[in-house]
Amino acid sequence: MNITPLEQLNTTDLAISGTQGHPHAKSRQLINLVVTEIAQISLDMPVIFVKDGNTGQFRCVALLGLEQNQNLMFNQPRWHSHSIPKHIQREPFCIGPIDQQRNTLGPCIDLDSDYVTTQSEGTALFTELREKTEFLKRVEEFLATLFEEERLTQEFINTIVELGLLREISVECQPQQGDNRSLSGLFIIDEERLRQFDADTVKRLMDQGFLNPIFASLNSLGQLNRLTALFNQQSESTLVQTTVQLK
Amino acid sequence: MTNPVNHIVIVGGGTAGWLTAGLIASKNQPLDASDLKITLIESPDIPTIGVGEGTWPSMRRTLREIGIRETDLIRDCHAAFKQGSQFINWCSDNRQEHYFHPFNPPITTSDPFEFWQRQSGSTQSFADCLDAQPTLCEAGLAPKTITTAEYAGTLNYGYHLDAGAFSTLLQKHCCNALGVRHHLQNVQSVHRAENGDISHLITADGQTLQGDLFIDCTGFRGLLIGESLQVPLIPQGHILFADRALAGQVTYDQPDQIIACQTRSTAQSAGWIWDIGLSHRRGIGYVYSSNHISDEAAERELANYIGPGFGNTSVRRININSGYRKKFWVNNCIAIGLSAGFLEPLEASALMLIEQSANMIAERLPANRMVMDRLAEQFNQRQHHHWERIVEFLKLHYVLSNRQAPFWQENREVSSIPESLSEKLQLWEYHAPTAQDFSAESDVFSWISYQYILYGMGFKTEARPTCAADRCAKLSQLRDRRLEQLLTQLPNHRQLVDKIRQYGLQTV
Ligand SMILES: Cc1cc2nc3c(=O)[nH]c(=O)nc-3n(C[C@H](O)[C@H](O)[C@H](O)COP(=O)(O)OP(=O)(O)OC[C@H]3O[C@@H](n4cnc5c(N)ncnc54)[C@H](O)[C@@H]3O)c2cc1C
Repeated sequence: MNITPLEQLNTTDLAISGTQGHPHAKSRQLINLVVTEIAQISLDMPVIFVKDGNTGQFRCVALLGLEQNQNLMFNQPRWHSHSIPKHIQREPFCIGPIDQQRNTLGPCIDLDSDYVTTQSEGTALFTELREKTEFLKRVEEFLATLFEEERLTQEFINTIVELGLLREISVECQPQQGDNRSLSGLFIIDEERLRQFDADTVKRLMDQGFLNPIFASLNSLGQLNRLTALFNQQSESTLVQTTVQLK
Repeated sequence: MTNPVNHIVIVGGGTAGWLTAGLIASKNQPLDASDLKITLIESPDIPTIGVGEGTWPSMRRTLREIGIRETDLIRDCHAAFKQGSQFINWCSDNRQEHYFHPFNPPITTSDPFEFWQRQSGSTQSFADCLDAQPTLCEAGLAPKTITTAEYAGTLNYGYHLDAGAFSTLLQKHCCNALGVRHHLQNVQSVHRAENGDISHLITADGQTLQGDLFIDCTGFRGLLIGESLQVPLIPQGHILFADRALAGQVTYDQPDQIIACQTRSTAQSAGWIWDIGLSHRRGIGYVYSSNHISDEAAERELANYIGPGFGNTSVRRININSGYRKKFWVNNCIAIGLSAGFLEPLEASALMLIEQSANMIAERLPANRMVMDRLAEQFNQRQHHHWERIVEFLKLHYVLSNRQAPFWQENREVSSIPESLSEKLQLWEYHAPTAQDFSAESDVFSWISYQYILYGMGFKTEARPTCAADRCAKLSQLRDRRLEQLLTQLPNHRQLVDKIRQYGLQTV
């Protein structure tokens, strides 16, 4: 990875190509989501919560596979979903540190990404007059929105953590032959706890725009059946069923 | 006699006072609804003892019950994790040896000795043979990861914490969240009713404080239980000789220096030195017998242990008086903490006993005066049993040593060894300890702990090997696989503590 602020690019013959289908995501089992896309994404895949391995903080993610490094939603060259998480769409761009102290965040590009070419065969970032192309302007807008959505997502996660709304589960995969395999370290919304909330709390969640994503993520667990079906289509072994086990 | 218990007065604001207040208060929330008032009164100028920095795993349950976040404990009390004790140079004078008494249960809890006996051809130490924890400790690894929930662990653990900051954290929580009332006043006199009960206290500013149940947490002084109710201490100095402690605090040379994940206890000429790693400093102290070494010589041994850093260390001398009360609960007064007694902190059992006592009271908080005498009888019986068992277990560490200095030799004189221990040692020459050797109500040191000390110190039991060879092979395989896995999974202890300070742990 070579994350460089867009403002600091000193070469103008950069271009982007090959992003069609977002092949870089082919072995991504978990993908970060922003709160604003949870409802959409939940129509296609399970939306759950996991802890970041480095900080222990919760993240909201889409579950795309039943094994490590498995993305069942993407079967080259096409996606089995109607929508694609923004954190996949944005590659090779991202939000990263743009100052020496790494305190300020802004639009960046990963110069090591396979999507970045220097030939003029892709979509150019700059015109011959060294001005930003329409494409780059759209990218910057997308990233600016994403930045705002990330902030809101953090607020969403802080809120549900403080309300004690997350509970641990494991997903048990029962193959036709052999022992069950389980995916652990996954969290979902605690439905019982949600039901105990008083009207004020529910109203507050609704006003914040968090109630809908909460229910959407709860309902999205049904998409595990879809993942199981895709698994059986795409891999050698067969799963009899996939179930959620409360911890 | 059926006067209900509505007001509990706790005297003393050290860890004993606040843990007791927290455990009783958290079990009776909200206090108003239970018609209960809890007042803790502490002197504004008599300091707390300021030591007592190693806990048992039981502290995790205690703090969770009281309602304190583990993240706050790590941050506010500079706490780090403790996975057990390591005893260095306890066995003999000339070898650099050590052994572990870890917190994690061994890989087999049905026949640990028999398993080791089969395996000991491989010269593996008892503790290493039974679990991965000692190796992981020595590798500087933590018992959990940043994604493990608060109070949960991959391996069993307790804490090393700053005693002063711990009292403050408990105090804040008890007063702000649990409704405990806090008075900063000196208790000047204790007054008793005709039946011998404590009726009220008079404070230095002339106020009267009445109560139904009084808990004495005044430290060594034992203001209520000793000075007022005249319950004597049963001395234990003829069994456990240490009567002084020199306590100091040493800062780390480097901010990223490794934090030991075990209490290190190193034998000296007339006692032993504790070494406890917190996140910002180490607490180090020498527990010794003044009959066997002068204070000056003891200070030199401590200086030797600490090395160059000793120059900047301020050392405090604490007189300790081994013994425990003849009774802990008399009339309407209960002693908890140092007022109940003290034994050298070799296995850090004092805080555990405080938790234990406070829980026993909180679980059956006397409804009225009438039931108190019966509850007191139960309490005293149980506590006596615990103290006796602790004395015996601590003495075991000395009896098995082969060190030659007079302090150590005298420790092995038959007259200094409790009969119950001598009898057990005779039995254990032919049979390894099992649960059968201990009465059912004991829950302080299990028979497995005895095995860790006995076989860690080279005690020989001539039992027939009974663990089947194939089972042995399976067990060792299991242990080795676990070790390999955990060596890659678990983070460096210092790094985890720093991370928790930065990000915090999740409650789920
Ligand atoms: C050297 C040493 C090492 C130790 N190491 C460990 C260890 O590793 N692990 C462990 O579990 N335990 C250890 N302990 C024991 C542990 O320190 C104590 O059990 C624990 O701190 C409880 O102390 P306390 O609250 O009973 O007494 P203190 O901390 O002495 O508190 C006494 C309180 O009573 C108040 N008070 C006294 N007189 C009056 C009065 N007249 N009016 C009002 N208030 C009054 C004081 O102000 C103070 O608040 C160690 C002890 C020593 C001495």
